[in-house]
Amino acid sequence: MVRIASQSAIIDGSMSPADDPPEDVELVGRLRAREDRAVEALIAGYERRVFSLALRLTGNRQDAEEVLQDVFWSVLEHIDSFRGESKLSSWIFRITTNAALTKLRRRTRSRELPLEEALGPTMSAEGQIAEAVVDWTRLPDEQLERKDLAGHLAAAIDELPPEYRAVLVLRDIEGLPAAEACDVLGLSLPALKSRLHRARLFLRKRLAEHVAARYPEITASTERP
Amino acid sequence: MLRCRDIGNLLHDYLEGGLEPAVREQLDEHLADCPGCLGFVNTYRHTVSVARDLRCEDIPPELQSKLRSFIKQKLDHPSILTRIRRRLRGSPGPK
Repeated sequence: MVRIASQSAIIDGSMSPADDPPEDVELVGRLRAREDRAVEALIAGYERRVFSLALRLTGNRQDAEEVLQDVFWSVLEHIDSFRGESKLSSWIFRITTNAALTKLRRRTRSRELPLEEALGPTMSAEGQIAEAVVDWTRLPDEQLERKDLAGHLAAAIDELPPEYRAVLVLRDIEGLPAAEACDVLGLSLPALKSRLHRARLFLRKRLAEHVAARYPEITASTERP
Repeated sequence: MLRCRDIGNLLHDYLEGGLEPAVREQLDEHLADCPGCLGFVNTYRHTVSVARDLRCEDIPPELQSKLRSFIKQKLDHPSILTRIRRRLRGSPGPK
């Protein structure tokens, strides 16, 4: 079932229903009039983003392809009931996210993310960092392959529980503004920030573990004195 | 004065440029004196940056064709449920 604009689009005063670009308002009208060329315009305008979002959320190419088809058919079937309380893009991304997470939950068992304290560096009782932190960003590019890091990051994202994965994919991979991500997911801004921070902490920790294992010489040379 | 433990709560707004100038200044001062926190913030920021590389910039042409065929087939041969929905709404078929 498609959820349509169940959350107010106005979050933190930064977004209003009037934010939909004029071309999308016009597109909705043409889709409602069942214009063939409007269908192509819809697909051409959103297929890459819908596929990218579905692929990262499901972590599975076959599931992403099915989500892609289901999303566009769902949008066409329900365009008459789109009330314009959200941006068209937010509505489409919400349908995509719901469809992808439904597939993901069917396929994988839900798991908990460790508490924030367990994801960041170890702290002393006085609140000071009590472990050596390796700053791999200070290394020359040739010593640290970004592609290698991206591959490990993708694997770590697949470990994230669905509700954290959705926030991270929308914000950090697809680059949606915070207000739109809140609208898509039906979250408050503080809840979004909190989930995003924990997801990022988890991923940073996984990359730090990978760097320490893959490049032991780097670890030794950059430890805090 | 900020402690290392305070950094985590400020990171999101720090990276988004949303911190009050006075707080940002305190945080920058802390980072200048604390290599551990500086390394942590740098690697946190780098993790976010690498995540951007995972964005899918293209959609395979064969998938584009498959999607269009699927939608065309659905529009040309709507299910009974879709036809009933359209009739109830009084909306026309595709032009």
